[in-house]
Amino acid sequence: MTVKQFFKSTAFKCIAALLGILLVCGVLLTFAYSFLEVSASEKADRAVAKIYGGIDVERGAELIKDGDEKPSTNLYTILQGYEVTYQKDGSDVKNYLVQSRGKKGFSSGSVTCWVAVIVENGKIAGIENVTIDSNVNQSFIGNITADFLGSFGKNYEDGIEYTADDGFVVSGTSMSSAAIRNAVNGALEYVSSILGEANA
Amino acid sequence: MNKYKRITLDGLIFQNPTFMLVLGTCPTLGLISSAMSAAGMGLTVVVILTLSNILISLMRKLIPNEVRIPCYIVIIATLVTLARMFLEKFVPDLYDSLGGFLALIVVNCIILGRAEAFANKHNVLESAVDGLATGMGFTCALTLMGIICEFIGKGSVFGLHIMDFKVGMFATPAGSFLVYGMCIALFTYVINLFERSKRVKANKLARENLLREAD
Amino acid sequence: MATFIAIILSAVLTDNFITVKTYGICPFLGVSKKTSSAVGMGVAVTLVMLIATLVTFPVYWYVMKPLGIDFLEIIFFIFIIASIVQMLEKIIQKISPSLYNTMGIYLPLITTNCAVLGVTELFLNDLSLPGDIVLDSATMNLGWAALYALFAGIGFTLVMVIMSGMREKLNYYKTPKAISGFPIAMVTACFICMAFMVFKSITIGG
Repeated sequence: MTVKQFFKSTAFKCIAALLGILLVCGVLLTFAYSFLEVSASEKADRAVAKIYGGIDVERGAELIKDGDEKPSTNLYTILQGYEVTYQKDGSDVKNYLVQSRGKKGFSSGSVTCWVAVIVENGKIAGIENVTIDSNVNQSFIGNITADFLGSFGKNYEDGIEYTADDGFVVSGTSMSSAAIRNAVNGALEYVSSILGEANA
Repeated sequence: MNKYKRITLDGLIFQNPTFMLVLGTCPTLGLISSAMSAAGMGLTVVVILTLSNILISLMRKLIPNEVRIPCYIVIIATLVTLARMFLEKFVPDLYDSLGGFLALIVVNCIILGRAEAFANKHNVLESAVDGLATGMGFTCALTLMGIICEFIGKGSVFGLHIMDFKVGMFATPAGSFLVYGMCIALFTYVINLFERSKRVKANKLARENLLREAD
Repeated sequence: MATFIAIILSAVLTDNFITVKTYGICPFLGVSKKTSSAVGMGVAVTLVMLIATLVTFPVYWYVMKPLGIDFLEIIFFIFIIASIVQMLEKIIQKISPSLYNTMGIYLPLITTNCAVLGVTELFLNDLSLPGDIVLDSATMNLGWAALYALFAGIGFTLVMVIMSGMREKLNYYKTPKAISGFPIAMVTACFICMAFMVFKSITIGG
């Protein structure tokens, strides 16, 4: 087959059409990605807006820098943390906003949460609120209610570790909520380790 | 005008992708435990299906027949990736509740099926109407089952608390299977009834005509 | 060793692709009328899952991630899967026509099988397996991924075969017209799912 014949054959047409479409789509998506990319700090801003509503909040620098090792066990990984301060009744309130990934969710997946931990006098005083950042494989995450997420703040006690009340976990939702519990426990542990270092 | 009405009715009822053709079952079974995510999935599919139908109908003369399936898949994958970025940026809650099933829209048989069976043979406007109608059929079916499943499984509809009871099984794949199966049975039953009544009416008309002629 | 067992248990039983994740339902409902076809489909899916993982895993972690184009993952993965399926079909047709007759005819259906894309997407994130074992970016490697994919395929085949056996028996019973076909198959699937829920209580060690 000569070169000229090859350029006229169906095989060449097929290859050209496929590669052309791939190239156009790739370039298009790369452009779209540069506009639509959600950066880490934007995610933190979203969490702040969700947890604190309209209150004016000051978010500090990242506690976990690039290249630092992320605190991790087989139940959770701490991805990022911020110091957050806001004004309430004329005085400063200091919170730690922790992005924590709870493992052991539904179908080997995980749930990443933002946990706002209230700190008073160098000690953990409670949980402001919890929101969900993202999830992996949690098909039933739609059934997690805001009430459930709020219950962590309401039921906070000193030194508590949240555990599931049902022994035999069946439904997908209860597996997802187990992962959220792991995330909250991890965030509390992380904040208390920071406070321990600061006090020492 | 009649043509578009037929395409719309086919997509919505007589060839409903969920109940009549039983296609795109993976996201259906995975997401109907919550009405909100079911409706969100449906609407995402409407947008992607309409756009892919339009694009494929536009390019049907350009794409060589031998590699049409890989080309369609690449186009659909691009649309899905775009939709994923768009949802993550502007509707993060929906993005979250759809989870892994968002990426799996690429292999949703409905979209490739419509591209193969309809869009590569019809013009742009017809393909767009077909995409919209089929997508709406999918959305309506998913939302309906989502409402049933969420009500039995959690006692709420669209996250709105209604009653204080729940049957945990309906928040698992087993419950989704049961609700889906029963909905198909009900739908086919109603369609059969409808068609039988239409047939009876036609027979009656034919008999009257015959009698009149005999007179 | 514990990881080995955990991967097998997770892939086959606790996180079975059909009964827990609800991936790959179209072939599960469409090709499960006869046991022979269910086995053929299952083997074909297992093969494609394994090969697809062996290709996409290195492509994602050693090419796309360093280049920063990991957002193109869907388009790359589906393209790789489609090409693998096409090639396998041609190769099997050439090498063994008898194998092609039992298994190859299901290959074209596999491109649009959620289970294959689902298994390749699975290894982009951490996996927490039964027995408090976590495969994250530090401990995950190609070997574990391939093992998981292989046994995920075996779990898929297992459920397909169970389902086809039950549907063969169902043929002997008379069901009302509206319920016969897909609805009764889905009720059967519902019972299989309920049976598989028991495996969620599996723990390893302590």
